[in-house]
Amino acid sequence: MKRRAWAAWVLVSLGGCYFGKRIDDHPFSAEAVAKIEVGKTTKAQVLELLGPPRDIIRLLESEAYMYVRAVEKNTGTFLLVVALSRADKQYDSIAVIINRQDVVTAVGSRFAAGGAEYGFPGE
Amino acid sequence: MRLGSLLLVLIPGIGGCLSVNVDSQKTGFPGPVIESHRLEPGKSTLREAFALLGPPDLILRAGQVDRAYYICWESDYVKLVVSAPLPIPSRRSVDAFILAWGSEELRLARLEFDRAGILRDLQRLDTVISRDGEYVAMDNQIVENFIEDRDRVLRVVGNGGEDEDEDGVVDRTRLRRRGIRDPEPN
Repeated sequence: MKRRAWAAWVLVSLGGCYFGKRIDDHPFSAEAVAKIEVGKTTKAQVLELLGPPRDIIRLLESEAYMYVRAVEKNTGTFLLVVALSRADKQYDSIAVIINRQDVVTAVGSRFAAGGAEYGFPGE
Repeated sequence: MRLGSLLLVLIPGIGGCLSVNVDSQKTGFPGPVIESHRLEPGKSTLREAFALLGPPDLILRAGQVDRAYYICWESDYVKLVVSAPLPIPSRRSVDAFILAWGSEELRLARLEFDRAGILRDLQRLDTVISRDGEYVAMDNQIVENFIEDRDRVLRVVGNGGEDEDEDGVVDRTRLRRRGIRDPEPN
């Protein structure tokens, strides 16, 4: 009985650990981005390739079409009164600048969401 | 037996209100901020900036310029948290007291382009806020407010409080996603 009580206490006290992954929005295709040519590709073609942007931001002489996908990985563990946690949030993002003639004047992309990692604090 | 019984009751109780939290957070990628030194104000274009640095984390029209931000943020903290085991309705946080030490690192690049898409201004911020060896005692709610306010200030650093264009249109969607509140009306 005494051993069971100690075992129960140990189990309760040890707590546990968790791994979490949060994905915001659908993945983008790098191949689709590669098809966008500055000075040639039109707004309609951008929408056809990438779909609707998350944000359209009005700039001085153009519009920025912003596509963003976030991946956040969380790791945590509880040991008695000690809690260790780590969060790593990385983005896939594409920005397409479209002028008043509906032609792409600049495009930038980064695919870093896959680089989000689980791990211990300080890594 | 008495000691065992005492531990049986006491330690899980302490576990509910006293904890040591080791916490790391990392958001974004430092590469663009580091590489931004390759751009030359007066020569480099928005097209070249995007090709070199990739898409900005934030872009908006601000007065007579288009402004783009690249941001990376990392923090490591060890906190001693004493919290009330029961939630109190009038408080948003049940954490009562914190001792914290650690460091935060923020990298930020701000680029301004004119109507022709020429880079007119480039500013970089590489800040490390360290509390190594220092003990800070404060309410958890104050810590949260401090972090929110500092994020807002640092992310729009040097823009004179202008997150809006000349028509007064605020890029609220992007700001909210970044955890930045809408500017308070004057």
